Amino acid sequence: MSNIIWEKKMFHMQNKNFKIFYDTCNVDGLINFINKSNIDCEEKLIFISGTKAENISNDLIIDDRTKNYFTMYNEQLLSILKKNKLLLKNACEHYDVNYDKTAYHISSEYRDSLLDSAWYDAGGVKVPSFTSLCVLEAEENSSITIDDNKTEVKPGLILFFESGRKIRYSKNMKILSCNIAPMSMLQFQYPQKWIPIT
Amino acid sequence: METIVTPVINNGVATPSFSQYPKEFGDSWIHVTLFDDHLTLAAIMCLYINDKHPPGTIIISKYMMNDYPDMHFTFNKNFEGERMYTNPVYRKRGYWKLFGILMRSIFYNYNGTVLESTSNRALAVERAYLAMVKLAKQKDWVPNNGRMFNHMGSEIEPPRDPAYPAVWYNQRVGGIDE
Repeated sequence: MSNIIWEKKMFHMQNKNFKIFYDTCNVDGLINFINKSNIDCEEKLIFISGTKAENISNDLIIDDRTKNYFTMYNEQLLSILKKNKLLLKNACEHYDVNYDKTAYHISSEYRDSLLDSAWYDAGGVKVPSFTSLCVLEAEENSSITIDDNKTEVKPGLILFFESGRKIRYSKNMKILSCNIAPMSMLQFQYPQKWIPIT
Repeated sequence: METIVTPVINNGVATPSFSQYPKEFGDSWIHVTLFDDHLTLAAIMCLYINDKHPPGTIIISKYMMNDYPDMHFTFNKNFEGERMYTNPVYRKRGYWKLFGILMRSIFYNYNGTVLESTSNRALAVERAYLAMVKLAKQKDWVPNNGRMFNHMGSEIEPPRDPAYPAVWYNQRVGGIDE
Protein backbone atom coordinates (compact mmCIF):
# COMPACT_ATOMS: atom_id res chain seq x y z
CA MET A 1 0.00 0.00 0.00
CA SER A 2 1.52 3.38 -0.89
CA ASN A 3 2.32 5.87 1.83
CA ILE A 4 -0.40 8.27 0.67
CA ILE A 5 -3.18 5.67 0.57
CA TRP A 6 -2.16 4.42 4.00
CA GLU A 7 -2.19 7.96 5.39
CA LYS A 8 -5.73 8.59 4.10
CA LYS A 9 -6.94 5.31 5.53
CA MET A 10 -5.52 6.10 8.96
CA PHE A 11 -6.84 9.66 8.86
CA HIS A 12 -10.41 8.53 8.23
CA MET A 13 -10.53 5.60 10.60
CA GLN A 14 -12.50 6.45 13.70
CA ASN A 15 -12.01 4.37 16.79
CA LYS A 16 -15.41 4.25 18.43
CA ASN A 17 -13.93 2.72 21.56
CA PHE A 18 -11.68 5.66 22.44
CA LYS A 19 -10.96 5.78 26.14
CA ILE A 20 -8.57 7.65 28.42
CA PHE A 21 -7.05 5.58 31.22
CA TYR A 22 -6.02 7.25 34.46
CA ASP A 23 -3.73 6.69 37.40
CA THR A 24 -1.88 8.82 39.94
CA CYS A 25 1.63 8.90 41.32
CA ASN A 26 3.88 10.87 43.65
CA VAL A 27 5.87 13.49 41.74
CA ASP A 28 7.24 15.56 44.63
CA GLY A 29 10.69 16.87 43.78
CA LEU A 30 10.76 15.14 40.41
CA ILE A 31 11.09 18.35 38.42
CA ASN A 32 14.23 19.25 40.36
CA PHE A 33 15.66 15.82 39.67
CA ILE A 34 14.90 16.10 35.96
CA ASN A 35 16.33 19.62 35.70
CA LYS A 36 19.53 18.57 37.43
CA SER A 37 19.86 15.54 35.17
CA ASN A 38 19.52 17.70 32.08
CA ILE A 39 22.43 19.97 33.02
CA ASP A 40 24.63 17.37 34.69
CA CYS A 41 28.02 17.40 33.00
CA GLU A 42 31.56 16.17 33.43
CA GLU A 43 34.88 17.70 32.64
CA LYS A 44 37.25 16.15 30.16
CA LEU A 45 40.96 16.96 30.38
CA ILE A 46 43.94 15.88 28.36
CA PHE A 47 47.49 15.48 29.47
CA ILE A 48 50.18 15.80 26.82
CA SER A 49 53.30 16.44 28.83
CA GLY A 50 54.56 18.50 31.69
CA THR A 51 52.63 18.77 34.93
CA LYS A 52 49.27 20.03 33.85
CA ALA A 53 46.26 18.55 32.16
CA GLU A 54 44.23 20.94 30.01
CA ASN A 55 40.47 21.14 29.87
CA ILE A 56 39.19 20.20 26.43
CA SER A 57 35.45 20.04 27.06
CA ASN A 58 32.60 20.00 29.54
CA ASP A 59 30.24 17.32 28.30
CA LEU A 60 26.64 16.74 29.22
CA ILE A 61 26.25 13.30 30.75
CA ILE A 62 23.02 12.64 28.97
CA ASP A 63 22.65 12.92 25.21
CA ASP A 64 19.31 14.32 24.15
CA ARG A 65 19.20 11.97 21.15
CA THR A 66 19.19 8.86 23.32
CA LYS A 67 17.84 10.17 26.61
CA ASN A 68 15.11 8.22 28.39
CA TYR A 69 14.19 9.35 31.89
CA PHE A 70 13.17 5.81 32.80
CA THR A 71 16.81 4.76 32.65
CA MET A 72 17.70 7.15 35.49
CA TYR A 73 17.92 5.83 39.00
CA ASN A 74 14.90 7.43 40.65
CA GLU A 75 12.10 5.78 42.61
CA GLN A 76 9.36 8.07 41.37
CA LEU A 77 10.32 7.54 37.74
CA LEU A 78 10.37 3.81 38.39
CA SER A 79 6.90 4.09 39.88
CA ILE A 80 5.65 6.04 36.86
CA LEU A 81 7.10 3.38 34.58
CA LYS A 82 5.28 0.64 36.52
CA LYS A 83 2.03 2.60 36.41
CA ASN A 84 2.39 3.00 32.66
CA LYS A 85 2.91 -0.73 32.33
CA LEU A 86 -0.37 -1.41 34.13
CA LEU A 87 -2.18 1.23 32.09
CA LEU A 88 -0.80 -0.34 28.94
CA LYS A 89 -2.14 -3.74 29.97
CA ASN A 90 -5.56 -2.24 30.56
CA ALA A 91 -5.47 -0.41 27.25
CA CYS A 92 -4.41 -3.54 25.36
CA GLU A 93 -7.33 -5.42 26.89
CA HIS A 94 -9.71 -2.65 25.93
CA TYR A 95 -8.47 -2.40 22.34
CA ASP A 96 -7.99 -6.14 21.96
CA VAL A 97 -4.26 -5.92 21.39
CA ASN A 98 -2.07 -8.84 22.43
CA TYR A 99 0.00 -7.33 25.25
CA ASP A 100 2.29 -10.34 25.65
CA LYS A 101 3.16 -10.74 21.99
CA THR A 102 3.55 -7.05 21.14
CA ALA A 103 7.06 -6.00 22.11
CA TYR A 104 6.10 -2.63 23.51
CA HIS A 105 8.71 0.01 24.24
CA ILE A 106 8.43 3.40 25.93
CA SER A 107 10.17 6.75 25.41
CA SER A 108 9.92 9.83 27.60
CA GLU A 109 10.32 13.58 27.20
CA TYR A 110 10.09 16.41 29.71
CA ARG A 111 7.95 19.32 28.49
CA ASP A 112 7.85 22.58 30.41
CA SER A 113 6.77 25.02 27.74
CA LEU A 114 3.33 24.31 26.31
CA LEU A 115 1.12 26.78 24.48
CA ASP A 116 -2.48 27.17 25.58
CA SER A 117 -3.29 28.62 22.15
CA ALA A 118 -2.29 25.51 20.21
CA TRP A 119 -3.25 21.91 19.82
CA TYR A 120 -0.63 19.18 19.88
CA ASP A 121 -0.41 15.60 18.73
CA ALA A 122 2.02 12.80 19.49
CA GLY A 123 3.38 10.39 16.91
CA GLY A 124 2.26 6.87 16.22
CA VAL A 125 -1.09 7.66 14.55
CA LYS A 126 -3.37 5.40 16.68
CA VAL A 127 -3.59 2.00 18.38
CA PRO A 128 -1.34 0.05 18.82
CA SER A 129 0.61 3.20 19.72
CA PHE A 130 -0.23 5.11 22.88
CA THR A 131 0.62 8.40 24.57
CA SER A 132 1.01 8.92 28.30
CA LEU A 133 1.07 12.30 30.01
CA CYS A 134 2.19 12.54 33.63
CA VAL A 135 1.47 15.97 35.11
CA LEU A 136 4.40 17.16 37.20
CA GLU A 137 3.28 20.70 37.86
CA ALA A 138 0.09 22.57 37.03
CA GLU A 139 -1.73 25.66 38.21
CA GLU A 140 -5.08 25.38 39.88
CA ASN A 141 -8.02 24.77 37.54
CA SER A 142 -5.78 23.44 34.79
CA SER A 143 -7.06 20.89 32.33
CA ILE A 144 -5.94 18.73 29.46
CA THR A 145 -8.40 18.04 26.65
CA ILE A 146 -7.90 14.98 24.43
CA ASP A 147 -10.06 15.50 21.33
CA ASP A 148 -13.29 16.57 23.09
CA ASN A 149 -12.59 14.87 26.42
CA LYS A 150 -11.62 17.37 29.11
CA THR A 151 -9.83 16.28 32.28
CA GLU A 152 -9.12 18.55 35.25
CA VAL A 153 -5.51 17.89 36.21
CA LYS A 154 -3.34 18.09 39.27
CA PRO A 155 0.29 17.12 39.79
CA GLY A 156 0.65 13.36 39.84
CA LEU A 157 -2.17 12.55 37.41
CA ILE A 158 -1.36 10.21 34.53
CA LEU A 159 -3.47 10.20 31.36
CA PHE A 160 -2.98 7.25 29.00
CA PHE A 161 -4.64 7.15 25.57
CA GLU A 162 -4.12 6.11 21.97
CA SER A 163 -1.72 8.21 19.91
CA GLY A 164 -2.69 10.65 17.22
CA ARG A 165 -5.39 12.41 19.22
CA LYS A 166 -5.50 16.21 19.53
CA ILE A 167 -4.15 17.43 22.85
CA ARG A 168 -4.92 20.85 24.27
CA TYR A 169 -3.51 22.36 27.46
CA SER A 170 -5.64 24.98 29.21
CA LYS A 171 -2.51 26.57 30.70
CA ASN A 172 1.23 26.00 30.54
CA MET A 173 2.21 23.06 32.73
CA LYS A 174 5.12 20.71 33.24
CA ILE A 175 4.66 17.16 32.10
CA LEU A 176 6.51 13.94 31.48
CA SER A 177 5.29 13.00 28.02
CA CYS A 178 5.70 9.36 27.05
CA ASN A 179 5.17 7.41 23.87
CA ILE A 180 4.46 3.70 23.87
CA ALA A 181 4.88 1.80 20.62
CA PRO A 182 5.61 -1.72 19.38
CA MET A 183 9.24 -2.45 18.64
CA SER A 184 8.27 -3.03 15.01
CA MET A 185 7.55 0.70 14.73
CA LEU A 186 10.96 1.78 16.01
CA GLN A 187 13.05 0.88 13.01
CA PHE A 188 14.57 4.33 12.57
CA GLN A 189 14.78 5.39 16.20
CA TYR A 190 18.08 6.09 17.99
CA PRO A 191 19.33 3.12 19.99
CA GLN A 192 18.73 3.47 23.78
CA LYS A 193 16.00 6.06 23.27
CA TRP A 194 13.31 3.48 23.98
CA ILE A 195 13.20 0.79 26.64
CA PRO A 196 11.04 -2.35 26.82
CA ILE A 197 7.89 -2.07 28.90
CA THR A 198 6.49 -5.58 28.48
CA MET B 1 23.03 41.07 11.39
CA GLU B 2 21.26 40.03 8.19
CA THR B 3 22.63 37.01 6.37
CA ILE B 4 24.20 37.87 3.03
CA VAL B 5 23.77 35.24 0.33
CA THR B 6 26.18 35.37 -2.57
CA PRO B 7 25.36 33.35 -5.70
CA VAL B 8 28.00 30.76 -6.54
CA ILE B 9 27.95 28.33 -9.45
CA ASN B 10 29.86 25.12 -8.73
CA ASN B 11 30.26 22.84 -11.78
CA GLY B 12 27.02 24.25 -13.15
CA VAL B 13 25.17 23.81 -9.83
CA ALA B 14 23.90 26.85 -7.96
CA THR B 15 25.35 26.55 -4.42
CA PRO B 16 25.19 30.01 -2.85
CA SER B 17 27.65 31.14 -0.22
CA PHE B 18 26.37 32.38 3.13
CA SER B 19 28.04 35.14 5.16
CA GLN B 20 27.00 33.27 8.33
CA TYR B 21 24.76 30.49 9.56
CA PRO B 22 21.43 32.36 9.34
CA LYS B 23 20.82 34.23 12.55
CA GLU B 24 17.32 34.84 11.21
CA PHE B 25 16.40 31.40 12.57
CA GLY B 26 17.54 32.32 16.08
CA ASP B 27 19.17 29.54 18.07
CA SER B 28 18.81 26.55 15.79
CA TRP B 29 20.49 23.46 14.42
CA ILE B 30 19.93 20.94 11.68
CA HIS B 31 19.35 17.18 11.72
CA VAL B 32 19.47 15.14 8.52
CA THR B 33 18.36 11.53 8.33
CA LEU B 34 19.82 9.64 5.38
CA PHE B 35 17.79 6.47 5.09
CA ASP B 36 19.46 3.14 4.45
CA ASP B 37 16.31 1.26 3.53
CA HIS B 38 13.24 3.46 3.48
CA LEU B 39 10.68 2.42 0.88
CA THR B 40 10.20 5.82 -0.75
CA LEU B 41 12.57 8.36 0.78
CA ALA B 42 16.28 9.05 0.55
CA ALA B 43 16.44 11.69 3.25
CA ILE B 44 14.60 14.06 5.50
CA MET B 45 16.13 17.37 6.52
CA CYS B 46 15.02 19.10 9.68
CA LEU B 47 15.53 22.44 11.36
CA TYR B 48 15.20 22.56 15.14
CA ILE B 49 14.74 26.00 16.67
CA ASN B 50 16.18 25.65 20.16
CA ASP B 51 19.56 25.75 21.88
CA LYS B 52 20.15 22.04 22.35
CA HIS B 53 23.16 22.31 20.04
CA PRO B 54 25.30 25.31 19.07
CA PRO B 55 23.84 27.30 16.13
CA GLY B 56 25.08 25.90 12.85
CA THR B 57 25.40 22.32 14.11
CA ILE B 58 24.43 19.80 11.46
CA ILE B 59 23.91 16.19 12.46
CA ILE B 60 23.84 13.62 9.66
CA SER B 61 22.48 10.30 10.80
CA LYS B 62 20.55 7.24 9.77
CA TYR B 63 18.25 7.75 12.76
CA MET B 64 15.26 9.99 13.44
CA MET B 65 15.05 12.32 16.40
CA ASN B 66 12.16 11.81 18.80
CA ASP B 67 11.50 15.57 18.87
CA TYR B 68 9.29 16.92 16.11
CA PRO B 69 11.24 19.41 13.98
CA ASP B 70 10.19 23.00 13.47
CA MET B 71 10.77 22.63 9.76
CA HIS B 72 11.19 19.53 7.69
CA PHE B 73 11.68 18.60 4.08
CA THR B 74 11.41 15.05 2.73
CA PHE B 75 13.41 13.94 -0.30
CA ASN B 76 12.57 11.03 -2.57
CA LYS B 77 15.10 8.56 -3.95
CA ASN B 78 16.17 11.13 -6.57
CA PHE B 79 16.73 13.73 -3.85
CA GLU B 80 13.77 15.73 -5.09
CA GLY B 81 12.01 17.59 -2.32
CA GLU B 82 8.45 16.45 -1.71
CA ARG B 83 6.81 17.40 1.57
CA MET B 84 7.57 20.63 3.43
CA TYR B 85 6.36 21.57 6.87
CA THR B 86 6.80 24.55 9.18
CA ASN B 87 5.73 24.74 12.80
CA PRO B 88 2.70 27.10 12.76
CA VAL B 89 4.54 29.33 15.24
CA TYR B 90 7.30 30.02 12.67
CA ARG B 91 5.30 30.41 9.48
CA LYS B 92 5.46 33.42 7.16
CA ARG B 93 8.92 34.42 8.28
CA GLY B 94 10.69 33.67 5.02
CA TYR B 95 12.75 30.86 6.55
CA TRP B 96 12.34 28.47 3.63
CA LYS B 97 14.28 30.48 1.10
CA LEU B 98 17.28 30.46 3.44
CA PHE B 99 16.93 26.90 4.74
CA GLY B 100 16.33 25.38 1.31
CA ILE B 101 19.34 26.85 -0.44
CA LEU B 102 21.55 26.48 2.64
CA MET B 103 20.95 22.73 2.56
CA ARG B 104 21.51 22.66 -1.22
CA SER B 105 24.94 24.26 -0.80
CA ILE B 106 25.88 22.11 2.18
CA PHE B 107 24.79 18.85 0.61
CA TYR B 108 26.43 19.46 -2.72
CA ASN B 109 29.73 20.19 -1.01
CA TYR B 110 29.23 17.31 1.47
CA ASN B 111 28.77 14.46 -1.01
CA GLY B 112 27.97 15.89 -4.44
CA THR B 113 24.21 15.45 -4.08
CA VAL B 114 22.14 18.09 -5.86
CA LEU B 115 18.93 18.82 -3.96
CA GLU B 116 16.08 19.88 -6.20
CA SER B 117 12.31 20.07 -6.11
CA THR B 118 9.77 17.93 -7.91
CA SER B 119 7.59 19.70 -10.46
CA ASN B 120 4.53 18.69 -8.43
CA ARG B 121 4.34 21.74 -6.20
CA ALA B 122 1.30 23.18 -4.48
CA LEU B 123 0.94 26.95 -4.57
CA ALA B 124 2.46 27.64 -1.14
CA VAL B 125 5.43 25.43 -1.98
CA GLU B 126 5.74 27.11 -5.39
CA ARG B 127 6.15 30.48 -3.72
CA ALA B 128 8.86 29.18 -1.42
CA TYR B 129 10.64 27.44 -4.29
CA LEU B 130 10.67 30.53 -6.49
CA ALA B 131 12.03 32.58 -3.59
CA MET B 132 14.87 30.08 -3.25
CA VAL B 133 15.59 30.09 -6.97
CA LYS B 134 15.66 33.87 -7.04
CA LEU B 135 17.96 34.17 -4.03
CA ALA B 136 20.36 31.58 -5.42
CA LYS B 137 20.13 32.99 -8.95
CA GLN B 138 19.55 29.42 -10.09
CA LYS B 139 19.08 29.28 -13.85
CA ASP B 140 18.12 25.63 -14.36
CA TRP B 141 15.10 25.49 -12.09
CA VAL B 142 12.19 23.02 -12.36
CA PRO B 143 8.91 24.43 -13.73
CA ASN B 144 5.63 23.60 -12.01
CA ASN B 145 3.60 20.79 -13.59
CA GLY B 146 0.36 22.70 -13.10
CA ARG B 147 -0.49 21.55 -9.62
CA MET B 148 -0.21 25.08 -8.29
CA PHE B 149 -3.29 26.03 -10.33
CA ASN B 150 -5.37 23.18 -8.94
CA HIS B 151 -5.41 23.97 -5.26
CA MET B 152 -8.82 24.74 -3.81
CA GLY B 153 -8.37 27.53 -1.31
CA SER B 154 -5.94 26.86 1.51
CA GLU B 155 -3.48 24.03 1.14
CA ILE B 156 -4.06 20.79 2.94
CA GLU B 157 -1.58 20.32 5.76
CA PRO B 158 1.03 17.66 5.06
CA PRO B 159 0.61 14.45 7.04
CA ARG B 160 2.11 14.51 10.51
CA ASP B 161 4.68 11.82 9.74
CA PRO B 162 5.44 11.99 6.01
CA ALA B 163 8.37 9.62 6.43
CA TYR B 164 6.25 6.86 8.02
CA PRO B 165 7.32 4.31 9.32
CA ALA B 166 10.02 6.73 10.45
CA VAL B 167 8.17 8.77 13.08
CA TRP B 168 8.89 11.73 15.32
CA TYR B 169 7.04 10.51 18.38
CA ASN B 170 7.28 13.56 20.63
CA GLN B 171 4.42 16.03 20.65
CA ARG B 172 4.35 18.74 18.02
CA VAL B 173 2.28 21.90 17.59
CA GLY B 174 -0.38 20.68 15.19
CA GLY B 175 -2.15 24.00 14.84
CA ILE B 176 -2.81 27.32 16.50
CA ASP B 177 -6.37 27.84 17.66
CA GLU B 178 -8.02 30.88 16.06
